[in-house]
Amino acid sequence: MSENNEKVGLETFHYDNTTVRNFLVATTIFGIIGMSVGLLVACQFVWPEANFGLQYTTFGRVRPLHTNAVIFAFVGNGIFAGVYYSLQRLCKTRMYSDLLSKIHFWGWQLIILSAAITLPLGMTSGKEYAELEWPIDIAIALIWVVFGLNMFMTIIKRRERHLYVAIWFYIATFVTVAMLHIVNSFELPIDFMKSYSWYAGVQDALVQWWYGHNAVAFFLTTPYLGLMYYFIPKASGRPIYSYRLSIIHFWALIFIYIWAGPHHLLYNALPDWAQSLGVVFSVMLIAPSWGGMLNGLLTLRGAWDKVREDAILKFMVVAITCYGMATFEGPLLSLKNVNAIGHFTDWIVAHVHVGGLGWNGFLTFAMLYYLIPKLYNTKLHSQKLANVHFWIGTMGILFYAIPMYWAGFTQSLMWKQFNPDGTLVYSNFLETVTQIIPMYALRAFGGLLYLSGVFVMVFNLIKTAKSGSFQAGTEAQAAPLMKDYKPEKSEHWHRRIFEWKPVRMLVWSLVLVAIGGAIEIIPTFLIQSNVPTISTVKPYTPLELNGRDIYVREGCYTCHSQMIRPFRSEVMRYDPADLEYSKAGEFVYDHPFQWGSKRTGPDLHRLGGKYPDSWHFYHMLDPTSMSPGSIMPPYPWLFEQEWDKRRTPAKIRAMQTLGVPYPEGYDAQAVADAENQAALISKGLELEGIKMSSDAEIIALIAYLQRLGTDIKNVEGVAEGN
Amino acid sequence: MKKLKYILLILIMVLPGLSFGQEAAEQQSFFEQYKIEIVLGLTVVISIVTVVAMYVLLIALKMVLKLKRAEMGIEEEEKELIPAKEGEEGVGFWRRFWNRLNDSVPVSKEHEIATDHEYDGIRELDNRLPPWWLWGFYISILFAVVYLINYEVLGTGPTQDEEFQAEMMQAEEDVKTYLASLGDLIDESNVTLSTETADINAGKAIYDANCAVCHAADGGGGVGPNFTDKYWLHGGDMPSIFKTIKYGVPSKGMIAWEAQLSPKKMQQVASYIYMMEGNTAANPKEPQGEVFERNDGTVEDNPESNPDFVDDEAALEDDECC
Repeated sequence: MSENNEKVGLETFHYDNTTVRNFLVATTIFGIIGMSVGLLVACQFVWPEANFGLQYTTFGRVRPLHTNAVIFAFVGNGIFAGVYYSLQRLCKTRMYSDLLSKIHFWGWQLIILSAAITLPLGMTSGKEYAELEWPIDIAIALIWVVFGLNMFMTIIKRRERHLYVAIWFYIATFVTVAMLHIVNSFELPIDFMKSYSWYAGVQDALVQWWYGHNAVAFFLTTPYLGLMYYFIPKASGRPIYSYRLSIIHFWALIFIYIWAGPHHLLYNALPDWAQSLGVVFSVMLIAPSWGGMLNGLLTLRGAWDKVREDAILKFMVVAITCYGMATFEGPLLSLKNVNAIGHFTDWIVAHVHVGGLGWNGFLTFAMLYYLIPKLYNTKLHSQKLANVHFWIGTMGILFYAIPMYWAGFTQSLMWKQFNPDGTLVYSNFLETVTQIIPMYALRAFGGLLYLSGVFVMVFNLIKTAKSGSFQAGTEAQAAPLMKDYKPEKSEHWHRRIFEWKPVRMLVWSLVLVAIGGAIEIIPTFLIQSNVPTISTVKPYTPLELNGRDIYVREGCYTCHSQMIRPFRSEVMRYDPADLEYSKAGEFVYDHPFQWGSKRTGPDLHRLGGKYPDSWHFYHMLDPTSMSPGSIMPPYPWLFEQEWDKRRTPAKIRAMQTLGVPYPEGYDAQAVADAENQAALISKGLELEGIKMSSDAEIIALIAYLQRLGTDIKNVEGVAEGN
Repeated sequence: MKKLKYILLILIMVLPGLSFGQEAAEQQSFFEQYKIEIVLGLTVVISIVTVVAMYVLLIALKMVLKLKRAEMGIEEEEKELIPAKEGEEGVGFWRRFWNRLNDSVPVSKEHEIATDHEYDGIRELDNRLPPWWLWGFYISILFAVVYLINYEVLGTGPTQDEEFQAEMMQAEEDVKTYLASLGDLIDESNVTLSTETADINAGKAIYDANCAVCHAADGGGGVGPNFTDKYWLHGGDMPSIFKTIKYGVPSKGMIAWEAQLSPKKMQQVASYIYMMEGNTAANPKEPQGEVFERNDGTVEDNPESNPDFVDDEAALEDDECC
């Protein structure tokens, strides 16, 4: 700080604690809601009846509610609470605008509320972790900009010359999330709450997982690293271990992270080169991630005696350890031979929950235990209860993760096991599911433990708050910055170049994160050879398109993949007749893509023509009638509701805008064509003794399911109309 | 309390194992399948054990040497594995080892590497980068370069399609060799009815697991046709039933079972289905196809001698049913 910091008359100001408190309350409430919904969906694996027989609470719709609630509501509010608290103190100034803080807080809660209403209603864009429909997407972008503006203006009018490492992470978070969200949310609305992804098939998958992976990176990781850099030294009273480690791991992390998205699509219909980039950048990511872990853990040197007593530090240590484990496991899973085993299984679910429950959850709890007594000017009600919470939570994580690792590994091995005569040992997919149901039960128990811990915390914190009085503003004093500052030559290069220049920091962060995204995504759009066309692949018929919308609405992708990987065990299981794995050219009309990321049920990409229509009819009405022991829930409402005739012309027009080659003016004819096809299916069912109106949603869904993956087999190219 | 905690911990680790005991029976082909993974795992375990063993040996050796020296009367001041640095006196072995591993300045000397940064009371040290971390980073970058050269520049690494083709070819060869080693192969040209109790029981098990959902447990039919009447869509003799099971009738939703059932199993289930004709079903489906006259209930039918079988695909074309 040197001579530039001569006291030029101290200014007195107040930190805004109210917004911080509000965000803390919100993170707690939505933590409980998000985790309870998680527990509900976990129970549905063991007792499918736990969907209460309602479409609004069936797995495919509630699972996105769980992920959105814990990521954007629980962790999101946690980020904002931590940022609002630490940023003011690190910049020695009140937040730039109380109005913007208010808009930010209430805007974000409204977004969450709208998500909680629309997702159970089945309003979804069908893209994992980005399910919210277009009006909410726009609201998110706006509120995110409000947050960014408020944060950035606070930084601009700071009274501390240099930006602490936590703020670097906040800046990178803001700019990258904005970029990811905007690029991934390009969608064409057909009316309020219904839209189609701008991208199709392979491109959509690449953009989506570039987003999805970096939502983990820049929503669940970088802001929390920022929080770690603030709260660990504060809670332990120890200095940060290594400044140069901060610099290197920060820049390396944000640059490398953005490239790693394709590791979610290994052995999928993605060009080989993109997969290779995903692999190598994931491997190079270990060191930058561990740099953060080391800087956190080693900061605690000389404070380990405190860790033994202090629940806050304990939570932090486990959080950082989980971060270290998850960021080692991630690169491991990105090696293609390991991914071949782990992908589509519960291993991935275990992996994300080590990160989510351990890293994000425990760091949030540590922050809550640290901040509530501070904001209420009192002491924590009970250290003992906090320790109880710590142990219950840790047990919860173990009970969650270990059975899921076990389940994932077991199921994957069962999928791949062959008899010497070339047949699959577990040819019935269901066998591999029923085998791991005990693991699902244990997992639900782990979730219950974890959630119980949160209730213990809430009790403790309420007691704490009641014992003190809320401090709406903390008074502080600092001198304003002098205008004519020039860094000295003797200063560290990073301080000279970046740390007193927030705009420069922002621009370079953006440049670094844009490089990887651009190099991976743009060629897939521009270079034809990346998605080899297949001449027999034709657009969906209007009825199939409606069926597909139902498939998306019901969130079928949360349990079923549409991606047969190029393995013997997968082509033998899913396409024994032709042994075709899924090709990039088959998905060119898929807005959005529905490859999925988890197989609780079998892959559906070559489902078309596998079973008669009547099989699907009975199966959707009661899955156990056709697959005894199935844990798929029944879908009776599909037999009562009617498929969407009204919006069909608009759907066709939207598809045309997106480049799907329907003949000109086809929208006028679409409904009639759809009705004809529906009547045919309905008549076919009648011959099987099934009476069903051709207007029922099930008819459209059957049309879509029977079309899946069949075009590639039409040598003559007759695809339309079945 | 402490003990209880540990017992619980161990229980969590072991619990998942309990429900999977039943898999042990199928281990043989499992080992075949996962040779590489097992070898890799073993290598890791062995290398860890080796390192630990060498460490123990080293300590043992030191102790022996010390004893020897004491015997010989040589007095020597104790040397430590990792000598203490300045400022580290009185710090335990592991702490010193840890500091050395990370190249950290010990806590007692940290004022020497403190920067003048201070933010809201947070100070920053400037320890050197942990060498193992830095080298790990370098190695991962080297890995990336080599990987990209191998797969994307030189193209010496296989693409995923090449890997797939190789896997399929290898599997085809293995299966062929295995089937050849069995001698008599069952296929549609030589399949015969087996009335052995063991075969029929096995056939029933396969039928109940795979066929009953569509054809009903008693063969009365449902989504699929009725097996108890004399009407057959695709022929009712052994070779025809076998063939329908093996290749399926994809256009009508009958799956090809070739990939999932071995020839022997297909013979067993075909025999079981064959014997169903004439049974009484609880809910028989209406007849589909044509009356199929079997030459003889027990002897194999020769497809060539049976005109119905040969034309049966063609005959089906006009069949509006199903």
